[in-house]
Amino acid sequence: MSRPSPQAGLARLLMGVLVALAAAMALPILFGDPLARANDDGGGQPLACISNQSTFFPSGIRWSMAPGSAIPIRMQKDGPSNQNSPINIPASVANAAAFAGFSTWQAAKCSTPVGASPFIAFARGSDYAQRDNGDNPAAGIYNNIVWWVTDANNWGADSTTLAVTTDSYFLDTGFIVNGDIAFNGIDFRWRTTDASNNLYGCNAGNAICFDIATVAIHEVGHFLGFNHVGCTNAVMYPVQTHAQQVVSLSSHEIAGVCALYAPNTAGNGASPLGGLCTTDDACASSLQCLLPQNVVAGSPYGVCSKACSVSTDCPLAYVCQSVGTQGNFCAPGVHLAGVPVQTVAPTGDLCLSCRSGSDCITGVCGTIGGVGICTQTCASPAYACPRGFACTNGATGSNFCWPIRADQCAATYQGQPLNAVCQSLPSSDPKAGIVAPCQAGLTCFGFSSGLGECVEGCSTTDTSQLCRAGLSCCLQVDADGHCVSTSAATSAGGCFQIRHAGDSCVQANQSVCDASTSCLYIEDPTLAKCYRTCPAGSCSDAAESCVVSPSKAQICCDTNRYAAKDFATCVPHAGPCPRGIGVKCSQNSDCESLICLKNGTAAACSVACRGDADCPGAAVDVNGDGLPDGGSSCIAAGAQAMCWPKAGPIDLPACALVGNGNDQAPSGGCAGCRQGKAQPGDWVAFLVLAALSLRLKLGGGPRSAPALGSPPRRAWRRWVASSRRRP
Amino acid sequence: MVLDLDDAALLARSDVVGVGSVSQVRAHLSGDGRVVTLATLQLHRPVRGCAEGDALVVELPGGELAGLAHSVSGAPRLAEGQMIVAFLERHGPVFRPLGLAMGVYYVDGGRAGILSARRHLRGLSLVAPTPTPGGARAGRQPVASSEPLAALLARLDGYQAQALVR
Repeated sequence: MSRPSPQAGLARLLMGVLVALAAAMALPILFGDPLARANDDGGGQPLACISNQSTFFPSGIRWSMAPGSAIPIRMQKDGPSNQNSPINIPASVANAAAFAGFSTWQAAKCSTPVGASPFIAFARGSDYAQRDNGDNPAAGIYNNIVWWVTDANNWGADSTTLAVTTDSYFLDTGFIVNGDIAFNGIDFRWRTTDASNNLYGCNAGNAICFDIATVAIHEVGHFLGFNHVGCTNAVMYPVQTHAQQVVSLSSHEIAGVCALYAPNTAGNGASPLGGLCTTDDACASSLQCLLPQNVVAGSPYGVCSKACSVSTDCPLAYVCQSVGTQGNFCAPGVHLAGVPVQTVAPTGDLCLSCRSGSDCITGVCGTIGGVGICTQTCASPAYACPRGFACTNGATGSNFCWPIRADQCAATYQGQPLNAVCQSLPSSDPKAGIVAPCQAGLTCFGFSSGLGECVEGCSTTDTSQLCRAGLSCCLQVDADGHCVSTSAATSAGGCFQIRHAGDSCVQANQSVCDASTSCLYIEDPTLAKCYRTCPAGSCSDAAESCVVSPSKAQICCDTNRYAAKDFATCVPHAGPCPRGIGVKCSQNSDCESLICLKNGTAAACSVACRGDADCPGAAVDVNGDGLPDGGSSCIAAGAQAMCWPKAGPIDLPACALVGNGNDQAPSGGCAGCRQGKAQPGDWVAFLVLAALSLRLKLGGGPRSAPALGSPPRRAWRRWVASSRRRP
Repeated sequence: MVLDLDDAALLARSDVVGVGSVSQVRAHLSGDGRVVTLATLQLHRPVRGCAEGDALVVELPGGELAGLAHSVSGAPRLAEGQMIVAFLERHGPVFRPLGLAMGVYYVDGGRAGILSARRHLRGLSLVAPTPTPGGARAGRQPVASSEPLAALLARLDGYQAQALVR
């Protein structure tokens, strides 16, 4: 097989990343998961200074390179920002000091063979012009950048963080493909010396003044895949001081780098254990080329490894890891007591469902038993399939890789859980409806962003597909964020909770604002609430004033709380106390469900049901007083089954019955009636306080939902509506 | 590598401190090419700068996307359903833990049903915030610390009260 160019391999990787991106965003992070890389020892274990061979702490990842190559490192061309330091540091001096950290690790002299260098090398590439990490994963651009941060928003850390190192690696092989080191140039000062021992930068007596080379050599240790060591003379000791200057490796780091990056003794240009490969031929004898699951055969991201039975078969800094039909192979990691062989589940493109090859970046949609997943062709069972997959023969007679265990493609078979993000594409897209599907009974309800949320499915024509009590069947959520329950185009929708003026609507959580309110926020999307609007200039609630925002939106604010005439103080006045399922009523309009069910002489708000599970449980507060109300049962009511309160119709809280008997909330809203502060379980109560039917308002085209992580909008306070559109 | 601040100093430098539950954890590609993990923190017990019921978006550096892990040494990890005590610094619409893993205590059931708060500082390098005699590398190692949640909150409330008095 001819060796593909790195660019072609990267392009394939990028395609994989792009296609899998949306699906992966919906997957829960494997934090703390036993299938995660072995770099998490449970946390918090006291560090010890150990004098035997385990004097370093590999984190379970490593770089890989072919013999004779080097990993390119680019330095940000402007260096530190010279923040009022006594002597400004020329960028060339600062970058030389930082790059020295790489050179020092590379120059370690190993004991086996005596004086040999570790199999790791760096080459300084062209300087990088921007002040960022140089990566654009969506476009498949990765650069290994060392840079000084001057914008607090673009590095992900905070004002007390001195420096951070990021490693990007394949989850299954532990092979690092990208690394960056960022120095905090905003909150800290820096100093260094040049080759002539001239001092530059801040004064060492300053508690926030740090030596560049000292910090760099420690961060390069993380860059290489090392954790900390508990010996105070070590570079990787986890406690630093501002005055410290440590620029040479201790015996601990030398032992570490010589084990994780053992000198290459393979000869003839072959890659040793952990070395780069595209085929088995590139590896030293007795080693095989293992490909990360997310790349197709032939991509230049394989690593040479050896077969093993238990972790003690592997060299120091490696563990024995299951790779499906290929058996167990050595991968970088930490030996865990009682875990002879570690496993890593496959993730990514090869598990996406498909209908044809055009749905897959590999162009291969394997189908067995009516289930189609993106896969790849294979030549022999022992070689071409990624770990977790075996070469098999489908109905078409062609060989392709198929998951060994059904749960290895759990997302395909089981779908995403309730409220998880799913990908929703226009019906014209060939992948519409097949990418990142939701679990059975859930539907991917689309947002304007192209992603959706897995919500419970419902139908407006099929009574066997009703929403649970407290949820409304929405066929669409219009541009104003309102539930649309009628449509000539479809009868299938999603179940949503209807929230009211003053309720938070920042999270989807199957919620939308009621027809009289809109989901809005002032400056901060994390504080979005349902606000009443007042396009006619007046508010229906006498306790509210109609306020025109700088963006000309007309919104009702609680008059008392808006006294300062500051938009930041604009909050909705709490609405009438809700009458949930089981609360006393006299007419349909009393109820949020719009159904006041009469049962003999009694009447209570009700909703259709299929069984008791569709009705509020005993612990649910349906009248807003903060106390459980005993629940409802699903009883026969004529030709239908309806919820009825087990203990008879429930009164509204006395404090809500003010004035002429209307259930207008007192100052502070219904929450003010409660016995104490709201509890986390209050969200459960909200579920049963929501309406089943709404007067609907059809809006215009969709707008963009608030973008998390977007830059702050400080020029003026801005009002934005969140929106969703139909699936 | 972060400043080794005690809880009082962490609180003083935080925009928001409180106990909350984590939901909606997902990796996200930021506009400037960073992979971050966004999590919603529903606050149940405010200590500073927030109110009960507030929902904040917490941004952590790194995350897992498309088969690639983006690992930041010393960064905390959050999972859905966790309850945490968080020291947060505001950055536009999101909040970041102060001092990476320093800014997060994980709440779990301790002995005899008493909730405890515990840090996971493995992978974090600590830097003394003030000069040490002779530049010694003494000081505490970033090992786990654990105490009853009620005791931690009492201490934090005390620090906050002192801060208000000042």
